[in-house]
Amino acid sequence: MRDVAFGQYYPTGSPIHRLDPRAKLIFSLLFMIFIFFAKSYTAFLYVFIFLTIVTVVAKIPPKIVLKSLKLILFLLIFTGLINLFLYDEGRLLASWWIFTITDKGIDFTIKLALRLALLVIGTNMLSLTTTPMELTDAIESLLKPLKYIKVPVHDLAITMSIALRFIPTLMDETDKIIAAQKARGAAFDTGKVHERVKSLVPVLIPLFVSSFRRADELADALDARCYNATKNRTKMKKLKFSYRDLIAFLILAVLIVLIMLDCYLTKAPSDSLFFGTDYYIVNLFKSWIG
Amino acid sequence: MQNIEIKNLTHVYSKKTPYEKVALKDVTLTINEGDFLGIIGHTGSGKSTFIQHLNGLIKPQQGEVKVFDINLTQKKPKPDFRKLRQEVGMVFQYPEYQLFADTVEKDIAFGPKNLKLSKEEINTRVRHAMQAVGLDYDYYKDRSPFDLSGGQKRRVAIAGVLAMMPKVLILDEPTAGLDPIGKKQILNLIKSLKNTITPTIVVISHDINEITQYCTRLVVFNNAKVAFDLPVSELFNHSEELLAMGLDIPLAVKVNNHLKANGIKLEGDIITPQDLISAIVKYKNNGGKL
Ligand SMILES: Nc1ncnc2c1ncn2[C@@H]1O[C@H](COP(=O)(O)OP(=O)(O)OP(=O)(O)O)[C@@H](O)[C@H]1O
Ligand SMILES: [Mg+2]
Repeated sequence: MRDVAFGQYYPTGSPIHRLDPRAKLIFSLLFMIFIFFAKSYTAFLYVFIFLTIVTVVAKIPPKIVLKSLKLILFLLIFTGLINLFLYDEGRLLASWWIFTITDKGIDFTIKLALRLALLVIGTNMLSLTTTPMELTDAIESLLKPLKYIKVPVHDLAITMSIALRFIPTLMDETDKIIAAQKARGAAFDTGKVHERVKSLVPVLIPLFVSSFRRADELADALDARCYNATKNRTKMKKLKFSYRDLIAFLILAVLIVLIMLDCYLTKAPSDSLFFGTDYYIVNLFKSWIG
Repeated sequence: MQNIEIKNLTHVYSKKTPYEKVALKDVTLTINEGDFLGIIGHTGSGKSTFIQHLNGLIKPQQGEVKVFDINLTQKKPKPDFRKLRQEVGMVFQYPEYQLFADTVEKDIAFGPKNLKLSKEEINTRVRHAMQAVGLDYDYYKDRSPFDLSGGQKRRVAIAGVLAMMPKVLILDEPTAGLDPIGKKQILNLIKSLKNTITPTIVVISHDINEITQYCTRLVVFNNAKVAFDLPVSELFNHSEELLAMGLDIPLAVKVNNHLKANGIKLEGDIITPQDLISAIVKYKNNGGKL
């Protein structure tokens, strides 16, 4: 349970962990946008190399990085199969009833799966290297301009960080209550569906009761220390961009430029199966073999 | 003879993550029928982790746990957890936080209901349990547990466990957070339970003056290991080591050690204030000078 509590934060203290969280948030957004311009296998290779570098620098075991794929494995397989069998453009390779397999279908399926997988791994890197608290700070800082149109950015941020702060506590609490009710013979994993739902009542009620108690206590504690969210507050840890963020940005920029070059400067004929740089590489191979 | 036997038990939380934590290391311990066992140790020494093994809330990772004739280590056939949890009653830290039903009676009946007992049997058990913890059945049965005082809530929670009619009762810090009178009442309750309902009792406590009032055998946990396992009368021959572990020793033992250092030798085992008083009276009657 505690694994969930810290989000997926994997502390190694690497330079990537120490990047400004705002920078990381922006980089992740850029990554998400530009991965949709990656349309050839060569471009995917660029992305793959980029992610490998990030993983190595962040000192995160590849196993942990790949773990995020487990969650979307079903999605990957499901959409993969649908695309593979229902895509009907291109040269027909096999067909049965309404199902067809075409060369373009295979190409499309592989690329879609690659894009999804790389997207998930890339964005997951953010939560592996940034604590939820840092993320909240980053969001607050980036949303600051909204203050001028009277959006209570700071209140929203403090609410979010309190919520985040209490996730581990509530997790612990849930663990304890479940243990206590199990000790009284409650069974949570056997019985029919409605019995299982009913068995949650002895867990949820104490959990709500204690959440309200905690909220009360926290409110009192904040009041007792004269907390006031409306004034301009100073921060203990100020966010500051540094040369590290610039270097990281340059590396990301190289990736983006490579992807965009591959997408717009290459001139593969539109009827070819291959796109972008792939087309030249395949042609090179073809002329090689003869 | 019905014993609880633990052999070479080791438990690691969040194994193979950066948050890995060894909570128990090679713990071997036998709890005999009729034991009044106290467990002490500083915060985080593994006490709660240990006792949760005794009714299967934590499955043994390494080592053996045998409770009566139920072997928790065996895979096939699966150990009978329902029977185990009925025979080993567990009262957690702050047990009042697990109350959930709208009346005291329903809350106490939760355990017996899970055992699928008949209505009459459940009712008798609830009455007995309430009587055992000193709550008048007719007065309290229809009241909401959330409207009771802290000490009363705790009694209800303990009654909820007693209604399972366990052979062994385990209590994790049963007096934490109560006022002196509430503490005394719970202590007296535990003492009387030992003589009437559950012959074997295990209590975790941080208060050495309290636990020495009623336990006959003390187990000391230190850094996930059992440091001492001795009768109360012998444990405080190791006062120095206990102090080095950051644990307290009973006031009477301190006074006695002080007297000894000043050449005044009292007779007999001196653990509780009562021991001390009677030893001093005896010393004076024999013509000794203070
Ligand atoms: N669910 C959990 N996940 C991860 N680590 C845990 C978990 N529960 C306990 N620990 C860790 O295991 C160690 C032993 O914890 P345990 O609760 O057994 O200590 P304790 O002796 O009961 O302490 P206390 O006197 O404070 O109740 C602690 O360092 C604790 O942080
Ligand atoms: Mg504990």
